[in-house]
Amino acid sequence: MRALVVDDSRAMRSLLRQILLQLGIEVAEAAEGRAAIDLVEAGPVPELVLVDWHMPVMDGLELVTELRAHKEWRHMAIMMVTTESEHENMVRALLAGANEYLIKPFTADAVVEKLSLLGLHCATVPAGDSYGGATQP
Amino acid sequence: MTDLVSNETIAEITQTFWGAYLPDAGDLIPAVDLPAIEDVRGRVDIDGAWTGCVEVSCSMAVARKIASVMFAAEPSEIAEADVRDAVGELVNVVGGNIKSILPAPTSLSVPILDDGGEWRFAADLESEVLLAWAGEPIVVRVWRPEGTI
Amino acid sequence: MTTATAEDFQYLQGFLLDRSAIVLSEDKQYLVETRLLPVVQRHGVESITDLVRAIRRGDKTVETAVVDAMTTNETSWFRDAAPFDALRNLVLPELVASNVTRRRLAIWSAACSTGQELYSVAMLLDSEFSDLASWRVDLHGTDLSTTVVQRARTGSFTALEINRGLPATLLVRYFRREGAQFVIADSIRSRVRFELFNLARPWPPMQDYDVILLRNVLIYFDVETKRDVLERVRGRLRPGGFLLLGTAETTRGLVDGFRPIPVGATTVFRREES
Repeated sequence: MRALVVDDSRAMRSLLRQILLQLGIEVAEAAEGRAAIDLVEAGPVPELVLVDWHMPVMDGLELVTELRAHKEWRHMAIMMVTTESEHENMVRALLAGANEYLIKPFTADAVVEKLSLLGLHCATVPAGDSYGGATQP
Repeated sequence: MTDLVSNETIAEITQTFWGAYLPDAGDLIPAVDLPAIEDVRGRVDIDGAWTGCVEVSCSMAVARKIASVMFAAEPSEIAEADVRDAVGELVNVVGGNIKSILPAPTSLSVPILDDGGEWRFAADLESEVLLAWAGEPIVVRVWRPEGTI
Repeated sequence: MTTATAEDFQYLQGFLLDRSAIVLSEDKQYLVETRLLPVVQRHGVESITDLVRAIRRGDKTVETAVVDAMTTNETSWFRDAAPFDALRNLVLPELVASNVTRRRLAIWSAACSTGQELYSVAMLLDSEFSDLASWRVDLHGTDLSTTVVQRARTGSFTALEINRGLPATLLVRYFRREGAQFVIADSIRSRVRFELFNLARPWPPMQDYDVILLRNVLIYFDVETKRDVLERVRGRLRPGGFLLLGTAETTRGLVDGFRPIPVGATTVFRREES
């Protein structure tokens, strides 16, 4: 599986890349929406796009709208990954075509569970989970 | 401000960032008499139904710790630019979560990092929360434009 | 002093076995430390040894804090997905058909933690089983920890908790923002009831249920306690009712009277008609 992480923070892209790589998912990165569209157009088309909201040039909401305007990309799963968690804005993102919503900050477990909600089954479960998994007795 | 976002909530939001991304690093705890060493600082501006900004600053040790986890590298190997980028994300998450509690609608800026130039801005301090990790400080401040009631 | 001494560990083993029937094996020393150090900090004492001393003295506040810390687990919405698929695709359709004249349904989340499991069931019923709107539906959650039961009742969750497995469509449909918290709709909260309940102690008189969720609890118990709890669960399950266990748990080899039914990626245990 291939994912595209779109976030203006290199630190956040790095963190998400670590989690996704552990799940056996290949990762490409873009720092804002316009660059993300260019990457998707150049191909290969990712199965999953993780989208931050507040970014320079093209923000996350515009990016989702733009991605959904392309019928040929309709199978792509889109998840917002953002601090933006006002009710009205979450509804706007879902209406624009986002399939899931992850609020920052998040744990690696939450990413895995969201991917499962999206019907994306990962190769492996993160071992040792360095981002705060549940500690079971 | 205190009736909109309490100091406890500001502390809780900052601790949540810590708990989610640095669970193995030891707790971030409220501090009182710690000198505020502000080696790295940044802010996000909030504009709309509520206007002001959220500033977060911390010591270099804290900044390096955050960056080392996010970039999966040793604290000593982290470049200056990576430290600033990681603190930018801390500012974004803390500021963005505070924004979500304030009156809507508002817009949130991308993080603005102190690059060593003029940092003071014409604003009144609304809230100040001091936290500590391993004896090192993190300060979160909420500012409003001068004269805002 | 951040480590638990051998004596501390031994004492805590006995204490937790007695208080919550939890078996703490020898390799769980790390767990005692990671769970109890925040309690040490919060209570302003120096060490785990101090906590043990306080329990020996009969300090109820420390007792409760230690039990809570050792038994509270992170919990997610629609945890593990497969049991909820089983509810959606087999258990609830069967019960809607078999209870159609009684027009009653009773579900018990028997280790409800902070309530996500029971609230997930309530949202599932509300969004996908609208036939039940005119039925009497009892949704009960119980847990042995006072703290988590109180939290479950508030229906209020942090963003970190909301992130754990709750579909975004249900988040925007059933939750509103209150400060930093997300609060579940009154229409859902008013349908559930949470009570303090210790599975390993004698049970008070209680009603029968159509579905009992007893997930990831048996794993903490020794074989005798497992058998005892399962027998009592069977006694509270209506004939034809369903028991849902955790992924690694089964009734097999422990108690009779249940028929395992594989559904998708999980197995549910149906109480045989007596």
